[in-house]
Amino acid sequence: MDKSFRLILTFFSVVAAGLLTIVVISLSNSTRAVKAADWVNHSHAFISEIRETMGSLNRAEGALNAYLITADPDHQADYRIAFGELGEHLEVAKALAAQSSEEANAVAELETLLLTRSQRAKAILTAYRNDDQAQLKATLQSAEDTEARSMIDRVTKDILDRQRELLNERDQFAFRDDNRARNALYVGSLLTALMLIGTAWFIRDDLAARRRAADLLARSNEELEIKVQERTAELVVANQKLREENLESRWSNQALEHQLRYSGLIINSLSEPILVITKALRVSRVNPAALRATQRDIVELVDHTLHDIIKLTAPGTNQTDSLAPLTEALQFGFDVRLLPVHLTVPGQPDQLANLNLFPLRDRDRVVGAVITLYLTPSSTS
Amino acid sequence: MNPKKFANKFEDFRFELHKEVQPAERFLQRRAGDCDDYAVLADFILPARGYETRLIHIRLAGTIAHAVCYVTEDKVYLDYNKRNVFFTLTKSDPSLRAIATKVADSLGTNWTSVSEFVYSYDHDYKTITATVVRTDDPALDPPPTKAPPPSNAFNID
Repeated sequence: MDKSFRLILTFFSVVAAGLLTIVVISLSNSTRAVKAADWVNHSHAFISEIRETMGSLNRAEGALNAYLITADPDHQADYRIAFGELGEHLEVAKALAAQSSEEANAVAELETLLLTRSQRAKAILTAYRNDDQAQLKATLQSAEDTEARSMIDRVTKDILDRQRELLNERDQFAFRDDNRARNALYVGSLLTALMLIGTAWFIRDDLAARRRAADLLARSNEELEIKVQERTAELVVANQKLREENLESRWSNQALEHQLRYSGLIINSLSEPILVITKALRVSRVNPAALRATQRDIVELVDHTLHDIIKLTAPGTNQTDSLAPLTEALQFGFDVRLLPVHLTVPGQPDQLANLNLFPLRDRDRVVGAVITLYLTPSSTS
Repeated sequence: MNPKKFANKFEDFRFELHKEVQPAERFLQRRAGDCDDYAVLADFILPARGYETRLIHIRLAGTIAHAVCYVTEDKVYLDYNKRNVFFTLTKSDPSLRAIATKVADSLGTNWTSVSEFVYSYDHDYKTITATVVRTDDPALDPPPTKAPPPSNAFNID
């Protein structure tokens, strides 16, 4: 996998992890916020039920008093309905307080006090219907009655105060939670933004590096193209030159071949024997006249020593060093002209001849010699 | 008469909030009432046609409470806000929590507590038989069956 791709993948994985963390934190905060809202609603509902309970009690006792004074059936219906609602609201308040023993105890205390009010109402109605004025008056003016109302107000106030405290606590909790959620969101967003910026920077840097590499490659290609063109031009020139040289060489070779051919023809057309010898007096080349004069074939002449063919005619010549003048001429590089010699012919008498020797030089060094023989007519010895 | 036909008969009734439940004759004659009137009348009519009904009182956050009548056999509830029923009534599981959640969702609000209650036109007051609080553990909810009404020490004749 490409290194750049791996790095980008790592960056995006980290960004994705950051976003996932933000989502998890946000969901967690949302759940907590919903729960907190539920509890706030719960507290408000509880407060509302307690107030409705007290409102129902006030309406019920007001309607009861009005009924006692007016005997109006509408007031009777009112207090019956109001007492019924009181029971309903108290039942709901008990359910709402059930989770907290403190609140449940307070509501139970309130229920006990409200039951005394219900019993009082029943006692008043019984005295009223029995037309027992003394009992009715005693019940209505009872000191316990005033005290019971005070206790109901106190318990109700305690319950409501406690709920306000809870609401305050929950509000502070919600405020802290909200701050935490906001901070988490800010931090997460900042991290994500930083990572995205980092990723963007990295991608830009990577693209720039790739662009630089591409430019470098393009430049290298251009330089290479120029070099190829130069080299091609050189090769074209060299090829042209080579063609010219080759043509010249061919012409030169042709001229040389002509020269050699004509030289050979010239040499071969001569009637005088010609031998080419090495510095060691060995025959290396001969012309056809030499073959005819010596009555030998080329194998019997070439690479054979000159002693086998020629002998000096001078008197007193040492047979072992009969070619000393020729050796000396080769050693010091001078010509020998008209030296009388005997040419040995197999199966026939020797022939007299005059020998000329011309040293062959290669860079001023004598490497051999050319010998020409002039046969003397009727000169057999 | 089935729950759907019952609901269809109230399509053109107007909404008119009353503190107490109206007598059935008055509700039908005036063709105006509220959720209590509608639910209580359904609870009065449908049992005579062989249906088991339950009156449900849902207390919503920051607004007035709402009453519906749940029909056990059809697993639907009759809601005065949804009496114009073309296809079918709203279905719900029978638990108080499920019904309250469904009704509150339909009104776009949260519920705080829900009670099942009984009502008689003769006595003219509601008696709560079971209550579920939203923040309570659902495992502790009462079973979704119609409970007999307890005695109410605050009922005074």
